[in-house]
Amino acid sequence: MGRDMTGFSTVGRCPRGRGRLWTAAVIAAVAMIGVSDRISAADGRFHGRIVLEGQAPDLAPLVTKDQANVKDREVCGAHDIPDESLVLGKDNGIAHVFVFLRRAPKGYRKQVPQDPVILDQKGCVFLPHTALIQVGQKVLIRSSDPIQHNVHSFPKRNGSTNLLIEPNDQKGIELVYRRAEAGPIQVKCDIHAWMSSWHLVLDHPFMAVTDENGEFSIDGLPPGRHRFRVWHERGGLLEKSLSVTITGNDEPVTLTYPASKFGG
Amino acid sequence: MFIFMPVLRSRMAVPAVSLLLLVCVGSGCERSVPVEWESSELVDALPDEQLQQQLRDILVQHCGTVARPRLVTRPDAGIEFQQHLKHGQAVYMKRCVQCHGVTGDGNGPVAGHMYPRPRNYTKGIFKFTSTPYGTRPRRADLIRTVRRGITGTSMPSFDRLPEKDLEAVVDYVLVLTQRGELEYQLAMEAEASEELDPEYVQEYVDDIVTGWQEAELATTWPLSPQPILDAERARAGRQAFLSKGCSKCHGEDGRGHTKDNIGLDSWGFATRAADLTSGMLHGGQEPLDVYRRILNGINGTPMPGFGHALQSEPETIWDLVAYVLEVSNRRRFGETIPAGLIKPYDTAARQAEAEEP
Repeated sequence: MGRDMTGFSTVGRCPRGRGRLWTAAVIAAVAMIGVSDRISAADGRFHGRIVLEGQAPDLAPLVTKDQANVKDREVCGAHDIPDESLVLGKDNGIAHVFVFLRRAPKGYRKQVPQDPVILDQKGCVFLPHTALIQVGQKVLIRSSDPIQHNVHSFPKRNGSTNLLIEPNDQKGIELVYRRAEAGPIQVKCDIHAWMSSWHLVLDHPFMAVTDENGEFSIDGLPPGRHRFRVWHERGGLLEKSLSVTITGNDEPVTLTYPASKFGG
Repeated sequence: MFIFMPVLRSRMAVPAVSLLLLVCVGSGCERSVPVEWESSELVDALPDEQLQQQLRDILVQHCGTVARPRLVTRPDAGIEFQQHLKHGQAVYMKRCVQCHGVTGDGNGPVAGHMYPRPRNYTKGIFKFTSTPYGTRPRRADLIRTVRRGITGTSMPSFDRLPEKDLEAVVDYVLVLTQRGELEYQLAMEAEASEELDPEYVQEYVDDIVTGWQEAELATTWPLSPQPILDAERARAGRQAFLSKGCSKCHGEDGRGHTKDNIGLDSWGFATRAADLTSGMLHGGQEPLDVYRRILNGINGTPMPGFGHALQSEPETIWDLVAYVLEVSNRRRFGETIPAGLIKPYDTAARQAEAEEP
């Protein structure tokens, strides 16, 4: 039974009888939803931009350079620490917005990525601010700061983690999530209470987070109708069930949300 | 009603019924009003009433009712265990319900007057365990807490409770806990998916069973044998306290009187790093208790585990234990502890403050 990179059963290449039956079923299913069987099951792509409309709220830095009475001032007060709860890029594109399918499409076979997700802490900021993690995938939490931090996660389904991390610990703490979460979860440092990041843990790869210009792309989707969720830490659940029909020849979409949703 | 029918027919009817009513009022018959486990706000907030009912039915299937409680982790338990749980319920309704509430949500009638608040069991999170951060407690941990009480809080010691009552009440607490866990997960699933697929429901049930089973095998032990915790150890511990990150929340004097020593716990209440000089270590005053708080952290709170950070220097953990015990015993030895003013964190600001006339 052949499988392509995204883990879907691919049509063709079937040496055994049982596989042939399965293939026939896949072809039948694809034919039933009226899509040419020449399109691979995973050609679909949901991509586009997420844009803020209106006047964005003015966010003061969480810590300003040389601010008095900051914990571990020599490190945390060495530069301004921006409020990353709303980051806007080119043409008001919103960064750090999660777009995801709550559950994998039918027929998806789980493949856990071999590469770990690396999370660092530098200048009393979590790097990156948002991360996509799959169930079973290794998460390495490191620190590049010469001071102690604690990494405290607030999952709703998995067990919570709260570990002190030594200064400049490059070997890091290894975490593995066992179950998919219903939405992004917060990871904080309690010692430096402004330090916050958001992780999305799912048992499939059909998730994306917008880049600095608000652009996102979820690749390898099977054709058909999918229901996406869109979530942002200030805006909350922007879309609970955004219905999108994927054809395999998908144009980029623009999702626009008013500034009022983000405290603007 | 038909039991009363013959009575009603007789001439004695009116006096008999009046007498019955009088007895009821006088003896507090209102107690016999059947108590019910309440639904959580999350369930009540579900827009679909049918889905709400489906969720409640699933809960009854796995956790039973007040009349017939069931433990998720023991689905095949027989009549004897059923009676054991009913006994536990009787003990709970007599001794625990005032603070912890009928449903175990820590919201009993007197809970509002307490700080710290009584534990809300429904999240499956317990602070003082022998297991790693983020895992369930062992049953033995809960028994120990009930037996010992929690120093410095409203939780008394139930040391004089007969063994049978103690075992039973802890199992009943487990019923409430596991029901709360399942309810929470199902409510989130129902909210997100707008349905409750039996396949996923079973997954949530399995997770609860696995979580509690794993906890029984997850006891943590010191990384090195316990040394004699003498003054020299306490001095070394003081150094570690300042250099390993403890003082960042507990303050240099261990009193926790620092500017931003305030966080949120997993139950949504404000929490602070403990004033170690109070002499009331909630998790216990034994060296092993303090060791586990440092090694694993305290579940549901900002206190992190130092097990990873100090794994290459396990003796440091014992040094810290020695120091924490020394600090927390100072008052017992008649020492007066300074008020512990809130001091600025950084040295420059502190010096500037000191130089001010």
